[in-house]
Amino acid sequence: MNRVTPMLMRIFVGLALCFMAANGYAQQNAQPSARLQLENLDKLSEKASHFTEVTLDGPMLEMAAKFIAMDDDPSDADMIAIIKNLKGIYIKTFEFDASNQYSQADVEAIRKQLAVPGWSRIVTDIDKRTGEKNEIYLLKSGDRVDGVTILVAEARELTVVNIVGAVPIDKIAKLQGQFIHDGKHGHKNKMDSGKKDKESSDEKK
Amino acid sequence: MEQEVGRDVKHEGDRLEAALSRSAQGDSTAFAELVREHQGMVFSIAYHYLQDRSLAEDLAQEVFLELYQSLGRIQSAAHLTYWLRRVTANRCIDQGRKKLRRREQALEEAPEPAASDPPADPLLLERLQQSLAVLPERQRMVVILRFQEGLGPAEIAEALDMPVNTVKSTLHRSLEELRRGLTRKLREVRYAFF
Amino acid sequence: MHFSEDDLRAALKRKDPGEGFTQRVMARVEQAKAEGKIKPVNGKANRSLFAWWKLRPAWTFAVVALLLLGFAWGGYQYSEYRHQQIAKRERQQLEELKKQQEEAERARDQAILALQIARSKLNHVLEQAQMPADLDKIIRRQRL
Repeated sequence: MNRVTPMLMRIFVGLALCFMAANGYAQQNAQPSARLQLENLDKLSEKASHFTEVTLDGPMLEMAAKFIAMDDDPSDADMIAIIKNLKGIYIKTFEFDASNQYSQADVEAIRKQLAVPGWSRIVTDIDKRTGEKNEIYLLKSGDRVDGVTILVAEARELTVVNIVGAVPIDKIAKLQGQFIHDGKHGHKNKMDSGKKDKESSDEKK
Repeated sequence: MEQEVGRDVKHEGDRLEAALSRSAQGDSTAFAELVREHQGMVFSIAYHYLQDRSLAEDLAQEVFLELYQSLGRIQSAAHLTYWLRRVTANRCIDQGRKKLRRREQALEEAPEPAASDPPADPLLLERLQQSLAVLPERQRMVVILRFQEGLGPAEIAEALDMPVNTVKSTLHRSLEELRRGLTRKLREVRYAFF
Repeated sequence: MHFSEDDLRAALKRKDPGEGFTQRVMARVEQAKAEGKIKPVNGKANRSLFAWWKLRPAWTFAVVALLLLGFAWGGYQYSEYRHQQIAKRERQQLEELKKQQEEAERARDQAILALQIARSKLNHVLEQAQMPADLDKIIRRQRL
């Protein structure tokens, strides 16, 4: 009996250490979520003069790709190739008539999600005069890009673009010029909030 | 001549159909006509089977009583004849089972001679009737329907709910037994004398 | 001893039940009626259902004709009902397809809008940062 108790204790401690190590390892290697939680920004829609929200998950993207493909337009091939590999696109963009309509805490809540291992910031642009900060983040797994977040925090604009999936980010950038006009596919830009875009994003540049 | 016969038969058939129809409406006179028409057949089957005059008459009356209650089911004159034979035969067999014995008729109780021509050999006929009386029930009825009513095996089979082949074999067996029975009787008579 | 079939026929010749048999039968019938053992015959009650058609052929044909008309009418009504059901199902399917098409169109519009915004914001940030639009290089630089 006396010999058994110390042995049992050793076994118990060993198991506990193994469990903790495994847990730590698991936590360390846990894949961060490519999809960000953007609900905290919803309250800003009341102050915004323009508000655009896009929520496209896998099935909707699949449907969109199929529908675009039905047009049988060769110029859509790049767009279809991009969409087919994505798992989700989540966008919130707010335009304000005046400055300081949103707080830094609102933006920090987003940045906090991008501060976890896995996400890395590849581009930062800071205007020290105005405090505006624009960033591009990538979520990588080895050589593979599993997510992209574009964060535009300017005086009268706050935009978060969160793309999940095998994002061909270079192809997205090169899509410039392919959106010839709003009526290409016989549609106008529509916003989930119901407000229409008065100008395209290109013109803002 | 043939045409006249044919016309007579048709006329007879129409008369019976009319009587049947009126009987079904409740006409007693029409029913009495039907009874008169068929009493010979019914009584004879019962008499030759039971070998007893009073029993035969009783049975015949019961058959006609049952007919009176079943007039609505009789569809034609031919159906009536079939119905009477079938009911009479079945009642006779039931009656025979109740008795559970076959008695031989004494000479004094010999049946009255038929209204038509006298038989060539009255003793033979008498012996035949006596031999018939000791045949088993179904065999007896098969012989009666065959030789009294002139029915074929199929008609007998229908009347007695028997297979046709059974009727044929029963008939054959019955005739054999009648011959054996007749020979036995003659021997008995010889022994009685000596 | 031998006998012939004719001998048998002679032995089994039909016999008459005697005088008054019919009267005795009728008397027995009346007695049974009086005692309530049998019901008086009337044409309607005792007639077999299946013999009815022989007595009233015109009525029978009328009934059969009505039945046939009834079946035909019933068949027609059922056929109409089936057609309505099929048409209803087709309408529902069409509506479903229309709904799916609208949904797909909406998805397409949203996807295009999303890519527009993504492209424009991406290039905006790169321009502001005065960086080349060759993201491949930027990403490769990150690896090193």
